[in-house]
Amino acid sequence: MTARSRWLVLLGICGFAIGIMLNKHTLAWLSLTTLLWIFVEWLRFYWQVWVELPQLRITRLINGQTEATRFLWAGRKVDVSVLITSANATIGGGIKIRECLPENLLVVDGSRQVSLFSRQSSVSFSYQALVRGAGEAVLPGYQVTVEDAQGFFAVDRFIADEKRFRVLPAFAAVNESQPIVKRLNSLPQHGIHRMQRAGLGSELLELREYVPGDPPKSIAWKVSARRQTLMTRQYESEVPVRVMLFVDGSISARIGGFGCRLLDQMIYVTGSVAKSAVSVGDPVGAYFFDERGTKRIAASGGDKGFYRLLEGLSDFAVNPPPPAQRLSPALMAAITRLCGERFPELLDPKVNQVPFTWTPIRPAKRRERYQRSLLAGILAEAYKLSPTQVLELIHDDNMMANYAQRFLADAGISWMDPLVQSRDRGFHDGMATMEFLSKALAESVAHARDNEVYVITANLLECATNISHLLPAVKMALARHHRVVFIVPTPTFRRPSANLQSDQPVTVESLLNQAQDLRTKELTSRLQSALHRVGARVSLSGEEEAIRMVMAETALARNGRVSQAGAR
Amino acid sequence: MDSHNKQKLLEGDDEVVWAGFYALMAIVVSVLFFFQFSTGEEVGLSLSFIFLSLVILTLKRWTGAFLIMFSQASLLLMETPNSYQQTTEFGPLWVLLPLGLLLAASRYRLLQERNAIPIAKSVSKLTSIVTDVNVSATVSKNAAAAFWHTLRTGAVIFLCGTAAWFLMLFVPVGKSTVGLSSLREFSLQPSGYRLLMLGLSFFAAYLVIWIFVSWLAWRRITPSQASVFLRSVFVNYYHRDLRMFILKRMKLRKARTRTASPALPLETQTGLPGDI
Amino acid sequence: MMLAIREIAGWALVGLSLFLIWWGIDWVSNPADPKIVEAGVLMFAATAVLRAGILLVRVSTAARIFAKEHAGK
Repeated sequence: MTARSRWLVLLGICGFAIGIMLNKHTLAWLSLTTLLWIFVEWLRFYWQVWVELPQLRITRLINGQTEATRFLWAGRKVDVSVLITSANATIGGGIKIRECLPENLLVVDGSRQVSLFSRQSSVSFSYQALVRGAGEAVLPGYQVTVEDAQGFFAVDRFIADEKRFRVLPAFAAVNESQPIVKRLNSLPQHGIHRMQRAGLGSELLELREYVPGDPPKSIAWKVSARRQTLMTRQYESEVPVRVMLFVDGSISARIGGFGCRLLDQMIYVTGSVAKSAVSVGDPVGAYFFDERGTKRIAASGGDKGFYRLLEGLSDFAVNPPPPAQRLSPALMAAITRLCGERFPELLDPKVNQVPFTWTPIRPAKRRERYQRSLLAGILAEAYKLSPTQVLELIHDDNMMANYAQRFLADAGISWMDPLVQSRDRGFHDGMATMEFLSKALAESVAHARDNEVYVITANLLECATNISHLLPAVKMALARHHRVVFIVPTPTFRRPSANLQSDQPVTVESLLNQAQDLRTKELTSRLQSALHRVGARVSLSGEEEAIRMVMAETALARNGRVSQAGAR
Repeated sequence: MDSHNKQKLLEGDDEVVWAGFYALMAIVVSVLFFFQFSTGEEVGLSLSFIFLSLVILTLKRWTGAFLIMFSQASLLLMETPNSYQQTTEFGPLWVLLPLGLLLAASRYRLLQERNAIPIAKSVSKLTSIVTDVNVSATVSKNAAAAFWHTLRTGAVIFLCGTAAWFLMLFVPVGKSTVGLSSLREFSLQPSGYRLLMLGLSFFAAYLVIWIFVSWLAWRRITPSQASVFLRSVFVNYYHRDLRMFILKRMKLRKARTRTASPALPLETQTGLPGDI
Repeated sequence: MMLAIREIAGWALVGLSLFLIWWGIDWVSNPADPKIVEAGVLMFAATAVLRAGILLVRVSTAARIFAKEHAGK
């Protein structure tokens, strides 16, 4: 019942009473007609809500198919069309149907809702949505608002129609990443690379003086004649190279909206590197590390291996249960909004009864407690809690915060305020990241063969000054003849440039961006100098153009050449 | 004309046009109603202007309750008390016109809120459709259908008015106190007594219908609604005891966590023995 | 079985409350000797009985829906 009808009912009752008391027939008649009219509208509304609404049949087409494909691609658009019919032949007027979307989908075209003004046989709407980031996208269902023609009554309902999609990460197709060092004398087998170490390949590495024991057929006779001393041809070795990708999923990498997390940046780079490696025949494996531990995906080649890796990346991109937070008003407001959208029928006080208490006395506090009791009822239903736990939720802030966070995270809310308060976590998170990475590196080295390329994507900028914690693990990997490349995500999603462009006006934002760039550059140079000293390469990810540079870096590491690596 | 186009003409797609229609309807009804006040006296004239300003206000922002209140106040002041059950020729107009106006204004406001289109634009779009030569044939062909549709929407009010009139027939007549002598003990006037009777009768009728309708509706609740309801009823029954138990346990837990490791995970804190 | 008994008890209470209301109206509607105060007390009691009856009916209906859902699973 809306405020409109409440006022009219009040006026109707008062008018009718006065009309009867003072013998004013028309006044009583008018008031009674008003009351009857509202009563009839109420009956019609009840019929629509309780009889007609359950008859709705909603069909959703994803990219033109009723059968869900069960996977989507990050960064691509998806076409959704929804057809609404009724088993009752027609759909009553005054209904608004709205598709509830997860944060990972952004409507870029069309409308995700439709309003029916009059009775119709069927209605449809369609929209195009952009998938923001890798992980998971769940389309939970539809929010339906039923309203009578005059706006006297209104009610919200939710029709569940859950479709769960795995979102595979986007990647750049970088094919020309192989540096042209020298024309090939013979094409190596697919998946075999020229390693610039002495071996038994077909490409010449160098000429050196003959040492007793060298095979006579490797003596370069012409050169020996010219130099008057025996010279031996040294050939490159041809080896298979395994690329091992390390992805950091610690708290700091997951904070932010979908598609804007550092993790999304790292996953994009990792996917691109994997694609490039697979295209040249290298087997690719991965280590995913975060607070939960380390997960390993064994190296394998070909498209099958690549898609297995993408699936692994997609699963890893799904945010785990968030770190515990204090119960805040913002968290309560967020959960109230979400419950209003997804469980409106459970917020009805007739269904979700709130126990009467004398305390708290202040009206604002009472309202707060009442709201919290309703939410506790919904959380209890969602997580199948006992009545005792319902009361615990009402009285225990920690428990409420815990379940509220879980509820928001399950609904696909990104790790931003209020789900995860974005206070300055930099240093401590960095230390944790280094610890997880060290463990993952040690585990990987234990499993590895020689000549592996380690591509480590981790948020290490914040701990550039304390990188020494990581160095033992890196040194160990290098000592086993692995190539180690660090790819560090940038918080600004672009490569730092120290100079303010002259054609742009000087604004507060541009100055702040420049300050951020300077800081990033400073941290990068520190990180580079520390890691260069031990023989590892460092590059920055951030924008799509950077991927190509990263690929070149990886290729150099793969063939054993030394180049001037670093931030570009 | 296929059913889809007909639907479009009726209400369906072009809500802006229909907003214009209802705005016009509200204006026409308010002009009709205006003449009810125009008695030629100064009081009537001032009442008319107050009424018009209320109509304009209602079209701008829903104040339908004020319209009804105004009509009731006018009847209270203008109607002679002796007219009880003596319906004048303007009686039905006094009932149907305010409610018709309320219907049109409410409908207009609802559409206007959805589309956020000014009234002038809605009306001009409606007139452009009506005057357009190309569509006028279609419009004239289906005007009757559209008009009938609108009438059907408003017919509810008429039916309610008729039903109310029938109900009013059952109200005891006049100021007679014959047989009501004992009411003086309660200082109750005969009219007050009638009100009490009517109020109780209507309340009883409403109660029976409400019980039936609520029961029908309740049978259609979803399993999750049923689960939440049962849990909340249980919590309500044992609220005091359970709360005492919970608060005591929370106090114990606090004391225990003070002595135990501060890094105790939350799950182990909440999962104390004794969970029901 | 318990659900059916509870539902029957609920409807019995609803019926009783309606009877009490009718009784109250009857008391008031006797112009010769209207028992207005007594009828008020009766109405108050009828409302309480109605509330209890409705609650019993609702609980049993909800329990049946819930049980049916669980049996389906």
